[in-house]
Order: sequence, then structure tokens, then C-alpha cells
Amino acid sequence: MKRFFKITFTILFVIAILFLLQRLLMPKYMTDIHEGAMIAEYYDSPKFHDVIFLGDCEVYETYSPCIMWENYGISSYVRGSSQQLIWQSYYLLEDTLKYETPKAVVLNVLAMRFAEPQNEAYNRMTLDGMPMSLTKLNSIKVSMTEDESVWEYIFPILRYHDRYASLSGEDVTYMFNKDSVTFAGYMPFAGIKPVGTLPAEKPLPDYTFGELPMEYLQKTADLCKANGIELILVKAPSVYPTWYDKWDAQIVDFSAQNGVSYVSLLQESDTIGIDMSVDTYDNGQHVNIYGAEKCSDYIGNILSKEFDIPDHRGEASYDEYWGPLCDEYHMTTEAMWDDWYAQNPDYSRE
Amino acid sequence: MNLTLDFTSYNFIFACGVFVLIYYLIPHKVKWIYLLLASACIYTLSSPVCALFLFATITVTYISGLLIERAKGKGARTLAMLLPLLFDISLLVYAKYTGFLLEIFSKITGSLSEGRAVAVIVPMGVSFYTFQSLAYILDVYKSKIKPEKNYFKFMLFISYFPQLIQGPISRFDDLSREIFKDHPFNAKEFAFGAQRVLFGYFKKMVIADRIGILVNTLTSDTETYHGGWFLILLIFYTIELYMDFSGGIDITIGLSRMLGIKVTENFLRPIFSVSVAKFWNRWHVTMGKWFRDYIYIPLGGSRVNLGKIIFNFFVVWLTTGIWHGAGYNYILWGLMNFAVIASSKLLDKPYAVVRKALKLEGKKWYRFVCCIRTWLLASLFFTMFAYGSLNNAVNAAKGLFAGGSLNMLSDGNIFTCGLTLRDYIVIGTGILLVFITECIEEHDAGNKPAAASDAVLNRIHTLPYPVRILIWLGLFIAVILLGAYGRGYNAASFIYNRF
Repeated sequence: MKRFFKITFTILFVIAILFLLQRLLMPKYMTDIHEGAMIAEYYDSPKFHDVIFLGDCEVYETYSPCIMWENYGISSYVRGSSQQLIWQSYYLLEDTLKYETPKAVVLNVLAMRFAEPQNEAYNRMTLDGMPMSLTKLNSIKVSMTEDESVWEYIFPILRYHDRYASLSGEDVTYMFNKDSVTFAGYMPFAGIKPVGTLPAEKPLPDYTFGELPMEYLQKTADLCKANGIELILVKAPSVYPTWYDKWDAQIVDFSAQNGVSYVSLLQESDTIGIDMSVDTYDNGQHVNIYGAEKCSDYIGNILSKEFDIPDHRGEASYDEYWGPLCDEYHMTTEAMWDDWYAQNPDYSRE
Repeated sequence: MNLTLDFTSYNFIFACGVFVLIYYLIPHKVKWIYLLLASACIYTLSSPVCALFLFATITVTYISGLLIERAKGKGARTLAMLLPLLFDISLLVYAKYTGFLLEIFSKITGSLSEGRAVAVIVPMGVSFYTFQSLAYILDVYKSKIKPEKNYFKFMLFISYFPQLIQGPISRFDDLSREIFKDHPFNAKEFAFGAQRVLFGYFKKMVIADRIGILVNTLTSDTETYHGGWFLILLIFYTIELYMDFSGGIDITIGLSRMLGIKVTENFLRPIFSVSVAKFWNRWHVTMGKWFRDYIYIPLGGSRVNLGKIIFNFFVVWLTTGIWHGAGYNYILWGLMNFAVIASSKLLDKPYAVVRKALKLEGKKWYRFVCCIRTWLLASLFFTMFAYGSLNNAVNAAKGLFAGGSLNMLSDGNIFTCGLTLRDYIVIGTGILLVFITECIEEHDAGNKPAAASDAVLNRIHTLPYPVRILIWLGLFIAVILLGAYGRGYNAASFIYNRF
């Protein structure tokens, strides 16, 4: 019996040491590349969302849940991440459904252009934040590029082992608890860089979406249908990278065939009031806070009126959460603009 | 699942963990069948085509054993030995040397364009399992062993996966006795095996693979890295090979030991060798014994006149070179070893007189000088492996003795070849750790080097339990954190896998 306890204690001790090392070595994304911390943040939020947004940077930089809350009382969360691929969005939805069942899912379609796994660094930002589950393993399996290993996702210490040489105070400070880097998944960007000259539109040899993204778009539609969730496909108003008309037509066809909605904020830019001389911080690739607030109001209005997403304002449990969050959101975004205008005196706040 | 016979691949490591666990949960009677299935499964998954080569060698060799035993008359017996022997050798030659032979043929006849690529798959470990098969046939022929009647047991002897791809080249009587005996769980043996595996990974992943980054840089561009860089390569490549091969052997022997199977030692601290001949008694021991038993002794060994002995040396080292690879560089490497060993034999008596006159015998400093000399000679020869050809090696050595050829040590260029100061510190510390363990083992070994492989393990075993755990946990963490594996590093397969 003594030997049994000795061995058990040893195994637990070794596991504990490895666990601590792994926590220490994994990147924290707190002072830089905040995008890596977004996916994990969802699990700390209260699970009472009526709308879940899924997709890449066009999602987490375009839709501000605080604006939708303030204007329409919609409780939403943005589960976006950098270069989130369609199959990753599907598995994030599958994962989300373990915690809550929203009334609507809004999926950005820009990632339909990717027919195969792309980039390990982006994969990590989407996958590392998910808790280990069969859903995560499936997502890893379909997302991995050729030189990746599933074991490095299961045991991230194998991936980040050589970070020992570049550890900083951040790694110790945020070993167990991290700060919030978004506002319900929205990451605000202050700054203005008007659309200038865009690269010429490159003709493609084939505009047909790949089999893999189409398969997962269909699976997403089926999953939503099976759970009584409205699926709304969206395209953010970014003018670059190019969103080809032939791509758009395929999304229109898909939505018609599957009875799901498609809202192209790109085509509705004028209606929304997007002005790419002031509403973008990077030459039209993404909208800044100004643009995001316009888009959020626009999509919030659609969600509220066309999809009957309820207004929870006045309900204590919601107000307790959204009130302070939105106050902080405004304080933060104001401060960000103050900083930016201070550094860019050529621009005026008017 | 992409399972390959690569000790450093994640799939192999995790599959082995599960494999060992199940091994001790199943009854003894079926353990060997389980081992066979695992071996067949890993090899077939690694490469189905290569598995066909292995299967052919096993089947022909097995039948040969039975036919030799049943053959009546010396002629029939010799034929039963000779034909399968030629078949196994032919397979080896076809798989490994076709391209090289065609290249030679084309140079002689001019019938093929020079350097024509020949697409022949080289089965993993073909040199190892073919030599094991040849030894079996010859041992049965010489009635040293009884042929194995059970085909599947024989199949396991040849395909036993821990030693399949880089040896040791086990003899049938040694390995079969170990594989088929009862293997009750023995905690101490299991722990010693696991510790040896861990130390093997330390040598391979922390030291060898890290040095590999430097070696690859230096050998890939001899126009840039020549002169003093040749010396850097000479020093580091041998250390890489040393750590890589001994690390792989540690993993093989340790893994086998975890299964309760003792495999022949194959690497006996060659750093303490006082001559090139003795170096090869300690480096890849089973290969050296194979050439001794099946080539050198049948040719007459040392019981013939001096001229014949020298000729025997020549044959042994020529075949040893060819065994290592299909290329002139390997042949040249063999001949370099031959030249030193033969000249040493020829000058044996004058050397003895000089040693006696100068009273060098038994002097520690003289032994130390001999070790250094041997190491430098072996390192020089190994540059044939590293550079791939004499031309490349000569090009790299150009300007070696010019002034300022070692400026890379002072001007910081040494840190521009893929390794940082931190890497050199890790390598240096790792080498020191391995050297200390080898010193302890050599000290305990006395005149019986093979007996001391547990010297360090036994010493650690006497320490209090928490101290032991901290030592092994420290080594485990060192492998995890300092190992040159994963993204950012080019995964390096074991160098001896290529031979």
C-alpha cells in the first residue's frame, strides 16, 4: 500500500509540474496580439446570449455587442478569431451549444475563400482557447496544416517548449487568470486610414468555393436547423480583400436553397452610412470603431425586427452584466480615440 | 494514423506508451504474439512497400534454416545456405545500391547519362535486418544454432521493432532467448529501462539534434563555410553522431528492458578508445562482431601471415564502408579506417619498442593522448559521412591553416549558423553530463566495458527516493524544454537509420 501511494504521489507530482510548466509557457496574448486571447474569453462570460457571431477579423472588428445592447437590448457575443476558417466556426458553434442555445447565429462568409488549412499561428489563436473536447479534436483534425501535430494541441507544452528563453513578467502574471481583451468578443480599433488605391482585382481561375468550406457551411446550416437556430450569413463592408460577385452569387444560392438569410453589409454600405474615408483604420480592410458602431446598429436593427431577437433591457440579470460592460466600452473607446487624435493632429474629431 | 518507426515522432512515443501498458496486462503466453503484431503493424504502417522486402527476407531466411537442417549431404546443405544467402544479399543490393551501381556502370560504359536518378525505395533498417538474417543462415549452417521451427517466432526475431531500424544486430540465440522467456513485471528493471530511454532522448533531442542544425548549415554551403569551419564541423559532427547513435541505442535497449527483454549492448563509450581498432570494438559493437565473425575469421582472421591479415583487414573495412551506404564517400571512409588499422598492425612491433623505451605503458597521460588521437582520427574519417564526398570535404578544408581561419570564434560568426550562445551552452552542458556518466561507467567497468552500463543507474538507485525522482524529473523536463523538436526545428531522423 505504501508503494502504491508513493507511485501515485510521484505521478501526480510529475503531472502537476508539467501542468504548471505548460501554463507558464503558453502565450498569454495580454500585452500583444490580443487576438489570441479572444476565444478563451467566452467561457468566462455569462451564458445568456441570444445571438452568437462567428467568423474572422471581419466579425470581431465589425460587430459591437455593446451597441446592439444599448440600441436594441440584444444580448450577443462575438466568437471571432483571426482567419477563423469555416470549419472552425462550425466547431466553435458546436462547442457553444454545449453552454447555451442562441436564437440566432451570424456567420461571416469571407472565410469561404479558403478551401484548405492555412496557417498554424492563426489555427492556434482559434483552437488553443477552446477547452479539450471531441469538438476541439475534430476542429484540430480538419484545421491542421501539413507540419502540425495533434499532440502539440493536446499537450501545448510540446509546441511552446522553447518559449522558456523568451518568458516575461506577463507569463507569470497571467499564468492562471487573464484580463479581458474584448467587449463581449468585439475588439475595438481606433484610427483612420482612408481607402486609397486598392490592389487591382485579380481574376481567379475558378470562383467555385472549395468542397471543404461548402461542406462545413452546410453542416453549420444543418446544425442550426436541428437546434432551432436562425442562421444569418453576413459579409462585412470591407472593400479588401476582394469579395467577388461570383462568390456572392454562390452565397445567395446557398441561402436560398437552405432557407437561411444572407445580409451583405458590403452591398448595403451606403444604406448603413459607411464612409471609407473615415470608417476604416487600415485602407478599407477593416472598419474602425466608427464603422463598427454603424454596422452594429444596422445588424442589430435587422436582428431585432426581422428575427424577433428579444429586448432584455430592464431585466436585472442582463442589466447587471451589460451596464458596466458598456460603460467600460465607452470609456475605453473614447480614450482610444483621444489618444489617436492626439497623435494625429491633422484629423479633427468632427 | 501516421505511425512511423521514428523514435522521436510523437505518434511513436505515445503509441509506445500505450503498447507497454497493454504488454503487462496480457498473459505471458501471448506476449510474443503481441510483440510481433506491434512490430508488423509499425513497420507496415511506416511503409507497406518496405514491409514486402522485409517479409521476403524473413520468409526466405526461415525456409533456408529448415532446409539446411534437413539437407542430406554437404552439397545440398551448402546449396540450402548459399541460395537464400544470395537472395538476401541481392535484395539488399537492389534496395540500397542499385542507383550507385548504375552510376558506376554508366561511368564505365558511358551507356547511361551520368547521375541518372534511379527510383528504388530503400527499406528502413534493411542493412540491419539483412545482416541479422545472414548471421542466422550462417549460424544454422555451422550448426551453432538450431533453426526456428515456428515461422511467426522467427518473424519476430527479425522484425522486433525496437531494434529493427538501427540495431543492434542481434544474434538469434541471444535475442530469441530473451524474447520468448517469461517477462513478469519487474519494477526495478522497468524503471532502469525507462531511465535509459529518457537519457537516450536527452542525448538525441537535446544534444544531437541541436548540433544537427549547425552541421546542416556547415555542410550545405562549403563555399561559405570552409577553412576553420572544417575544424568546427570535424568536432561537432562526431559529437552529433555519437549522441545520435548512442541515444538511439539507449532508447532501443531501454525500451526492450521495459518489456523485460535484454538486448545486446552496442555502444561502449568509444571516447575512451586508445586506438582506431579499439574504437570499433566499442562503437556499433554488434556490427564489428558481425564483420569479425562472418568475414574476418572465415578469411583466416589473425592466424595467417601478415600479408593475408592486412588483406583481411582490407576486405572487412571495404565491406564495412559499403554497408554504411551507397557512395564513394562510404568506401573511402572504410579505406581510411583500413589504412590506419593496417599501418598500426604493420608498425605494431616498432611502436612497442618505442613505448617500452619511453616507458609509456600504463601512463595515464599517454592513454589520454591516445584517446584524443583516436578521437581526432575517427572525427576526420567521419567528415566523409558529413560532407558526402571527398571533394566536398577537401573544399571545406581549404584554408584551414590560413591565418584567421578560426576568427568565427572571436567575431561572433559562430552564432550565425543556426545556433545561439544559449544553444552552445545547452550543448556544452549536455556533453559534460554525458561525459561524466561515461567516466563513471568506464571507471566501474575496469577491464569489462560491457558490464558497466548500469553504473550510473545503480548509483542513482541508492539515493533517497525523492532525490531520485527530482533527478529524473529534471532530465525529463530538460528533454521537454530543451529538446530541438517541433516547429522551428527540422525534425532529424536518427543518422544510423540511413545506413
